[in-house]
Amino acid sequence: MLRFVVAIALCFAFPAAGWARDTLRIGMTQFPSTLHPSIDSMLAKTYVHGMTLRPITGFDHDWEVACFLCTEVPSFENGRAERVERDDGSVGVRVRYDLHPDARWGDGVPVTTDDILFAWRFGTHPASTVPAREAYTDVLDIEVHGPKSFTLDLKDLTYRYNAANVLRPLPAHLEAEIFEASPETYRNRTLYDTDPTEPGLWMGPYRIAEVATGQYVVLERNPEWFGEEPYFERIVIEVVENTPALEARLLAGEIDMIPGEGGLPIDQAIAFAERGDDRFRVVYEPSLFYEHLEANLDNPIFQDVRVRQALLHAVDREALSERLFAGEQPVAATSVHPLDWTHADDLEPHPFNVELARELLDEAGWTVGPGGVRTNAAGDRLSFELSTTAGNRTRELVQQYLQAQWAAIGVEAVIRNLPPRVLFAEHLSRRQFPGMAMFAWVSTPEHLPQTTLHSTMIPSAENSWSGQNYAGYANPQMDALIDAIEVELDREARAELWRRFQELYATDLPALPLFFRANAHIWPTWLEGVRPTGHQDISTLWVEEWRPKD
Amino acid sequence: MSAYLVRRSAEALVAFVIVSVLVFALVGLMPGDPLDLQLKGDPDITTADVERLKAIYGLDRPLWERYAAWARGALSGNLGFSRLYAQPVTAVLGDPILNTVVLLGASLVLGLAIALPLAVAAAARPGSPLDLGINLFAFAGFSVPSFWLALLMILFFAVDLGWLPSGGVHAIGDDSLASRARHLVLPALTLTVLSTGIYLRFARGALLEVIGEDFMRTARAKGLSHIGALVHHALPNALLPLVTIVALQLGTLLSGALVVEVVFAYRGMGKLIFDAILANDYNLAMAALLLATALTLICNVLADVAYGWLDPRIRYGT
Amino acid sequence: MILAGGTLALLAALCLAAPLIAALLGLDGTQVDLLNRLAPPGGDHLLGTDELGRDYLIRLLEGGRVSLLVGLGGALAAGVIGTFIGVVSGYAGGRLDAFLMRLTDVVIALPILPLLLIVAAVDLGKLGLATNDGGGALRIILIVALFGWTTVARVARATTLSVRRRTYVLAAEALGARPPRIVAFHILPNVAGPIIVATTLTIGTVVLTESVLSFLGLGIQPPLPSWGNLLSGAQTLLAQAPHLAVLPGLAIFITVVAFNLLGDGLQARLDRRRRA
Repeated sequence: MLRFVVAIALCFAFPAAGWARDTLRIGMTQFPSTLHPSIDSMLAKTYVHGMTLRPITGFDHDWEVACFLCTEVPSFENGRAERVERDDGSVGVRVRYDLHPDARWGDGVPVTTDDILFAWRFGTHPASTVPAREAYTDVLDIEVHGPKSFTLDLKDLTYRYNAANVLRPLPAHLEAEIFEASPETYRNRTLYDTDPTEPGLWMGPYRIAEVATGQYVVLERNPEWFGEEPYFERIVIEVVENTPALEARLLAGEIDMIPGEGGLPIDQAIAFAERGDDRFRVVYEPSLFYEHLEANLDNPIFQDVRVRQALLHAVDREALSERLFAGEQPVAATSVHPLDWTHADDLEPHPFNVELARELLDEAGWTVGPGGVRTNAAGDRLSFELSTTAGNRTRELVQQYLQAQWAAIGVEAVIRNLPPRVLFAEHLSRRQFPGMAMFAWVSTPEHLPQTTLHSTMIPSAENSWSGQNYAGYANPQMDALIDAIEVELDREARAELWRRFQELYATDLPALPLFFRANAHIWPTWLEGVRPTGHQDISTLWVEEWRPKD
Repeated sequence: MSAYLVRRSAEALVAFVIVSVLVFALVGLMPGDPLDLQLKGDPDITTADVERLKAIYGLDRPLWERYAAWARGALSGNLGFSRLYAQPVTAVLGDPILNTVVLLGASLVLGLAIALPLAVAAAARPGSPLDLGINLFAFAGFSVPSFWLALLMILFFAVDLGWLPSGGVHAIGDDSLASRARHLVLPALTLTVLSTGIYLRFARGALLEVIGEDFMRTARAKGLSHIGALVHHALPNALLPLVTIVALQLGTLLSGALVVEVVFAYRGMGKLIFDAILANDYNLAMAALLLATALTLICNVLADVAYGWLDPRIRYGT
Repeated sequence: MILAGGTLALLAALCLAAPLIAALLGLDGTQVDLLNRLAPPGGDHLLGTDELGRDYLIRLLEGGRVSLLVGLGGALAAGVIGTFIGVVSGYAGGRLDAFLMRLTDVVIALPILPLLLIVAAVDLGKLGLATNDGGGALRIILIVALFGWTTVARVARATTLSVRRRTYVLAAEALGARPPRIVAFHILPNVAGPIIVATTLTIGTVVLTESVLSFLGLGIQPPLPSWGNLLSGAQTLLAQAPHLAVLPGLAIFITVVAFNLLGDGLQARLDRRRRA
């Protein structure tokens, strides 16, 4: 008893010893549910995997395909890609990769084609829980040339032929046996979850040293890592879901940084930055989260393109971005990100112009009626439901701003927000939303919005609700453009097609663009080398460059 | 007596089963699934993928079928697999139970240590300014929004003063008693502020009831001071109903602990339940919720029984 | 008690008069002004502005209207359910009484908040109930009533038990009056006092519960303001605009304390009258 009291007294007398700079402590809002590379898709996991695993290829800081585990990105010019015309008339492609000669797992076993083959076998198995299956089934065959060299036989030849981002090697020497024993229950028995500190599961600059479920993950340097040695001996990733508490943890010095990927919402980060705490640096990076308004085009109000244009002209998006987001969230002209090479830089977003908005509505037959709300000849009111994800404070604020701005031109938006799972599960994906919905699509560099804009992608009972064209947008011109871009391999020619796509998007407005969400990274001033990318291959893929300023 | 115990236990069991059905049905009525959200977070995932995954996880089957499967497993001791943590449910539950018991225990001890002396002081002169003041203090305690109090505690003690860690169960890499104790202080203190008022009010009420009884007059007649009589004679008698009430309050206390655990990122049952519900992790939510319910029901029965056993004036009919 | 009652009356009057006050001050709680965000208290806006530049005084008063409405509505609904169960239980006695009281015990023992979370997230539309009632005030009232009736039920039963052997009840029974009539005319009026006290004490709890549900993302939904969602919305701006968080927090605190004091005072008065 006495010893217990003394122990307690002592622990108050000596608060936790200061952390040396050999450890970097990161605070996030999400805990990775599983650590398996190919089961479930979530940000926290991507973040940890950036440090502990490497994909074959990924996008670099210039948003171009780059090798992480391979030696050279395949192309037709270097002879690694080869067009295949099959008997049935379809056109495919064969791409050859060589794995990095020194790449090996944390237990010293080399990363080989066995690991690629196993990953493919796992991904194509009927009981497989990989999220995006098509990436696996699109690989018709894998031809092995040796332990480090293989060729993928891809079903379709598209401009993305050389990006093998999804097919991630799995350690066959550890996992294959477990998988083959019972593929159905593999997801519950994988070493990634039963024994995550097994070194042979990891091959990045770091490996996992400790996992405290729901609380934190500790990483340590991987001595078998084949690249540049990272600076920090250990990296600790702690999870605090409540963002004010997370911020307090940073201020109390218990964590060093909050990454933009899975950190503070932008308004909180801006408020944090305004405190001017000189221990920290706040850096904003526009991301590929495209915030927009999707209108159900079955609703007669939105069928008239002039109404859609008017609604956009009536909103001062510049002011919104400037005032609410410290100017850090770029206003979107279309769904194409300003940092993407396909972006048409001279295409301006619709300007804020209330007069024009009113004229457009007048032209469309909506005249100001009693109570300030416009009506058409049939007596219908220009009023619709506006939904977004309940609990997302930033969206709720934007939404209330929209409501106020539209009220000024005689348009009534009735706010009805739904929990995210309701909004996405039924409201949108079954097209049950009667009015307009505000949400974000996340994309990749040079992402073709085929599933969201092509007319064959309108969810319906007939196609068992597949596709994500929730608006119900059908325009043959758009379909033709999307189909053409998909198979155009020539960059110049593709750039021209992308340009026409953006022009069409900006005038026809299949969705009303708002802005691209910015991620707010909060780093200690002593840290350098962290370079956010803005796309899904995030900063931790370059963790070996992180170091303190000397 | 034992017949009563058996009957009460049987009732608790029935209640338990009903709650399990209810909870399963309610979780089932929650629309959508986190899988639907994955569709949004990853441009490569298609609607077909989501349908396929739902089938694999058994989410496409009717609710009663899933409940039957779950109940069969649970009866044979298999609580299933937690989707949220990719671990067997039994492996996920262990730590949080311990952590919550420690948290509740610490706040209970602390709360009673504060409440009892104040209750005696208040009951000594009912209606006096001191009594009013103590009453006001009690009301203030349970009138604060809990999350708000928790945040203020963090900002003051962890950020401004830097005395204590702002959250977590223990320091990373230091799972010592000392480290756990330091991390316990703020959440336990917050929970104490929220719950002390309730104990205080009950204790004061119980004391005031006892004061009118014969033995109190005898004690005074024997020459004990007013406070002395309260402490030596009234307090032991008032403790009994208080224990019962505390046991009955366990459910409420657990609700308070949920918010505190969420803000302090303290991995306990409350936070676990919250996370499991948000993630639609049936197996985990069911096991954790039922465990919490079972715990409170058992405490309830025990308190009832203890009450009858300790107080000779109560006899239970058979 | 008078002080508590007075405070509440004043708060309620202010909140009810929100539109009037807005008109008097020439302000509009929905007027967005991005150039004037997060203004500190004072100047044109007595209590400053929120993050969209709306007048915070008006927002606060309108939020109070919603919070108080939810508190009253929730407590009232809980009171009605509790009274019904309690009086039936106490009057009927026997097995029905035993069953109802066991039910009450079980509901009291449940970990309420986690269950509330599930109920709050459940799609009421699937159960055929309307979901579009603005910010979901009705939903909060419903779910609070669903679990909050137990205190009232216990009080109602206890008082019914003490009343039902009184001579006037026995006399009515002897005269052949039917149970519903006896309950309505002889029991209810005599058990009303304690029930009102218990219901009053519940109001505070409901206001608090709403704020906690808001914090967990399941309370009243914006743009409809409530003290709960104003408070939980302001937590991220603590350093930048502390008044946004302090004011609704204070409002909740004062209201809940006042309702508790009021209930307590009523209780004391009732006890005194009974003793006299």
